[in-house]
Amino acid sequence: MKCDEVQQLHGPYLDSELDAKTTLEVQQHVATCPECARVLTAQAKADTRIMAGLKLGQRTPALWEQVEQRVIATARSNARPRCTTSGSQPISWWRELLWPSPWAWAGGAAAWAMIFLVNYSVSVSSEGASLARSPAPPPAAIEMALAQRRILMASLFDPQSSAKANAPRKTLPPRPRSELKTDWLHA
Amino acid sequence: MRDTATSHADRFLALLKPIERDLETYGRRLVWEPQDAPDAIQNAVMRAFAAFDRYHEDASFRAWMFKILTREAFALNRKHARIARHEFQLEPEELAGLPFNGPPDKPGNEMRPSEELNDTLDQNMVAGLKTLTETERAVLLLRAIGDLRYREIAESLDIPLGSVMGNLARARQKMRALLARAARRINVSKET
Repeated sequence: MKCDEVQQLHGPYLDSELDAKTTLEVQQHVATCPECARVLTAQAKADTRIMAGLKLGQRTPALWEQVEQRVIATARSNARPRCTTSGSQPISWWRELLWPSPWAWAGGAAAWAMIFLVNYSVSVSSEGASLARSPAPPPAAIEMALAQRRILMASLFDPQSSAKANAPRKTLPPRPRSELKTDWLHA
Repeated sequence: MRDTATSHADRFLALLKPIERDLETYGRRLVWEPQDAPDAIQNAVMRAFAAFDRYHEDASFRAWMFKILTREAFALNRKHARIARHEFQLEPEELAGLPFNGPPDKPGNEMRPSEELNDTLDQNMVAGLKTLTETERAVLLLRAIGDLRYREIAESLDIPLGSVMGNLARARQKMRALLARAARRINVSKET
């Protein structure tokens, strides 16, 4: 391994991010190259100072107390069933009020099904009742209906009678224009 | 149901407690505007808690929290992006024009040695971070404060492993140059 290659690997080497083979190669090179050893030592010292400097910081108790209280309050409010959108977004109170739980949706669906069934059964029973309540047709009407049915059956099975039945009607001559109703013009 | 929710929160807070200091330090160093840090931290924690159901025990909670906080901080930084570009991003040479961050020499301003040193170092670090791009800064801080592996940093920032190495090398180079410059200035002031 050459000096410039080793110097490029100083960072990952100091961070213990190199694989075992490359680590060994860097160590072997540094052991035999005083210049690379000097650069590596200086770099390690500077990086330690930088890392230590960046790590300097304090925990603000008031901030974390507030954060923890918010977490606990959220956990308590989540304990009762409530609606969620993406799971992470807070929900406004009015939306929560108008957004019932899945049980409410199931109850609503059941109520609608009941209403439909009741309506259906009432309409069926009222149809039957209206038929039962209607008066029986007179015997003449029954005879006429039967006669019509006989003619229809005959027309189906007897072509001659059907031809007679299908004969064109005698058309009336057109009425004179003077007899046509024109009062709608003045309406 | 209430007990389950409370134990869920307890479990979350038990994992959060040991990393609170590091999270706060990271948040404060990553945001452009110092007053945004508490908001970034609170938003990140609440977002993490909301998604805690999806957190797997085999994953690193530390890496997961740092990832969420990084996104929150970036989102807040984007709000100040225009200002940040003109006001906060400094070239290393521009740092020479900044007030000297050495120890105070006026009577009555003395601090205890460790505090004094820490304060000086901290001011230099803050100044140095301003010379970094957002990605360089995040990579350096995730490594320094988060103690994350390169692979975890790559996942947190959605960048390739090679970019992590490149950004980290550049960030360290800039910070080393800054420290060397600061050391030279301290030596000069001592001599005079």
